[in-house]
Amino acid sequence: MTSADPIATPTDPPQGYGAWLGGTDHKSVGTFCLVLAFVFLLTGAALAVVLRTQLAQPNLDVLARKPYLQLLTFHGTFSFFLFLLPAWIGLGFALVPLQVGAPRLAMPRLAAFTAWLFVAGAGFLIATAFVQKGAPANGWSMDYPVPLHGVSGHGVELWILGVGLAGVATMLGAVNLLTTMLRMRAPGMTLGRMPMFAWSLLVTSAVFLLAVPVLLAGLIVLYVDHHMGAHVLRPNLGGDPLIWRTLFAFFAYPAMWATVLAALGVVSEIVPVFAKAPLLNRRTVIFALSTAGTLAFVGWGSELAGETTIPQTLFSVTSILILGPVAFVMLSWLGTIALTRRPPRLHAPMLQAIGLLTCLALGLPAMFVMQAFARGGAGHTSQWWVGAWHQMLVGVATFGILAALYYWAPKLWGRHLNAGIGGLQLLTVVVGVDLAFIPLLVVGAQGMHRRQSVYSTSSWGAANLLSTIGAYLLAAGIALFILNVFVSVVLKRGKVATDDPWEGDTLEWATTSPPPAHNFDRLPDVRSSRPVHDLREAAGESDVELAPAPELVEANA
Amino acid sequence: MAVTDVTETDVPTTGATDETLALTAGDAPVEAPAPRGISNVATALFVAGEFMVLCGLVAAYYAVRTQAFKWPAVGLGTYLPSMVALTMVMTAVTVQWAIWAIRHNDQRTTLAALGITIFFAFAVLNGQWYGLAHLRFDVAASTYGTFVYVLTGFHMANVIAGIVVLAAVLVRAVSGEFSADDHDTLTAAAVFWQFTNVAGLVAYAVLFLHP
Repeated sequence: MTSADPIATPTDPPQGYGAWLGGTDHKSVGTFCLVLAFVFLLTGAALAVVLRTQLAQPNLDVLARKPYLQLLTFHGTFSFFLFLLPAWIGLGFALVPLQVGAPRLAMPRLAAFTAWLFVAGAGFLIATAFVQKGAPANGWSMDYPVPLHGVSGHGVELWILGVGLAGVATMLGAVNLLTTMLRMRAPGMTLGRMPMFAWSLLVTSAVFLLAVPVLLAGLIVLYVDHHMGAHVLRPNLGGDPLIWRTLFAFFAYPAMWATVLAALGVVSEIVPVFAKAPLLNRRTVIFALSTAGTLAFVGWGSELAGETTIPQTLFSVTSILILGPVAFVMLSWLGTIALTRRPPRLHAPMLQAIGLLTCLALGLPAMFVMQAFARGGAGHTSQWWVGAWHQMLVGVATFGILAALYYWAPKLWGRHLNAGIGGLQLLTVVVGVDLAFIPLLVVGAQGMHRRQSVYSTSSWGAANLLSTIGAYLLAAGIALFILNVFVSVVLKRGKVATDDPWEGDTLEWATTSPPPAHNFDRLPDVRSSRPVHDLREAAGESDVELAPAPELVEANA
Repeated sequence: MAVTDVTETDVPTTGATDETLALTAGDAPVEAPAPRGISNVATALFVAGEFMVLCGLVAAYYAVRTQAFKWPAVGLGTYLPSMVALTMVMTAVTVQWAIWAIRHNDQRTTLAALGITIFFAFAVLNGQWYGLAHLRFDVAASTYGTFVYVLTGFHMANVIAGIVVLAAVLVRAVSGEFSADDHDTLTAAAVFWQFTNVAGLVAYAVLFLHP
């Protein structure tokens, strides 16, 4: 074997908070994106609480209609463009090089630039609150109604710039991640042996790369229309508002699924490690994720259900088809656990993964009914849409990010998140998700509309109250998670992580926690999809503990 | 398996425990040769994304076209756009010529071909600018007019980016950084440039050949 000297680290970039601001180390840049994302997750959750308070009972007067719609626009915009997108891109930045055995991202400076583009986008989006006619009140899809020049103020233009910058950031992040996975894999790591999370991010990034530009095209048209007085979107002047709505749906539907698929990758990584078994049907799961990514591009019309020019039946079918591969992935997790015939190790990441699984199990039938009966009460204009999509975007995509951090925080930051707070947060989030979103299916089926800011039907009161309580719980759960990260990582109260605390399968567990700037002093041979597991087996010890990182770093120096 | 070879003597003294060695040691050296083709792959992926922007804009164009009573609302001459399109085709040839030359390690021809490409690129930009500046309608006059500006503007923005990229590559070529074995960046620049031509020719076909 080769025994090259461990690489000295005098040129390692500065660690700590300074590294976030000016550094190009992929762990720091990823962490920076995550911090930004969680600021906006918390903001989005706080806004949701205010919105749900208005809807808690019939005829409440907490918010007037316009501020309600403005806050609703902020809620959707922040939660998707400034939380879900940067969070997955950031997790990818932080983890993909470690997972594929690379010393860095393919383009480290581009990654840092990407993070700052998200910041700039956030700046523009926040600025929409301070313009003369107030923030846009047209919803996160800017189509309620499609903004007309002179009606909506300059906030719309700032919104376009902000969302555009976040979109360009996502596109560049996707290019970076894909290039890293295609060109920087360690020797022996074929695409088939790439870890499940990396695989899911490959699919997610590919979807982002092809879907986000369509949004950018739409934003160009919207900007020209709104700022320059063109009338591509004005029905009486030879235009058609459906053009913007179609371009947005062509972006939003696949992009929303992409954030869900990445979460499926996280659980596909966690379940085998804690069940101590290889993932059941691994290759078929990869195929299922890729198929779902492809099908995400043919179901966009379901977001425009009710429009006469959109073929309803076709899109009902295509948007139901995607549920198949997603359900298959879920069944593979259950099969992996069941076939070991012993209980899985119930550490914090596994518990979070199980929580996610319950949310997904309820979300899939909700999505199925919505897509099957899109024209009725369960269509995309009803509260059913809100309930079903939130079950997926919060209960699966957001939950996946939380689960991922329980699993990888020890690797990235060298500290475990607190399991006690984690348990409380898990309970709060699971109950919060189901309580907040399932009742919306009920009122949606009874005819409550998606952007309704007030209602007088007294029979909707009970379900709405439950949903509001759920929203409060959910927000509390998210706050608990952020508190947990703060206490465990920032205040350094968390248990110090060993190099391989979970007995993981994949390459990131073969280096120190946290890894050095160059990631690996040595790489194990990659001869299967579980190189670190193979190494442990070959050593004949299944319970090998790695030395804590500081000792190794000191010894190497 | 790698680990069977691992003994304490194989590994530089680190002071870490044996168990650590078992998990961190392996056959593969960390300092693997720098991966090749990063700029090519990244550019191809980025261009795929850009192509989707173009598709979105063209789709929007055809969507408005179906709504219009009279299309195009204003008739435009095809002489200037055709000359610009012809110039684009010439840049497509000259940039490939640069690649052909560097594959034969012919530095001088590479420089010449790149220089000519940039010259033609400026000619394209000049033609587009002149055309837009002399239009007798503004961006808001008609939906057709809006797309004349939007599609041409999208192409021009890419041409400007392309000129910057080609100029950076030219500087590197002047300092002799490329060879027959190592010209990834040059290929990447060419891939991006060919995309600008595709965008320009699609805009030309959509707006002028088959309005």
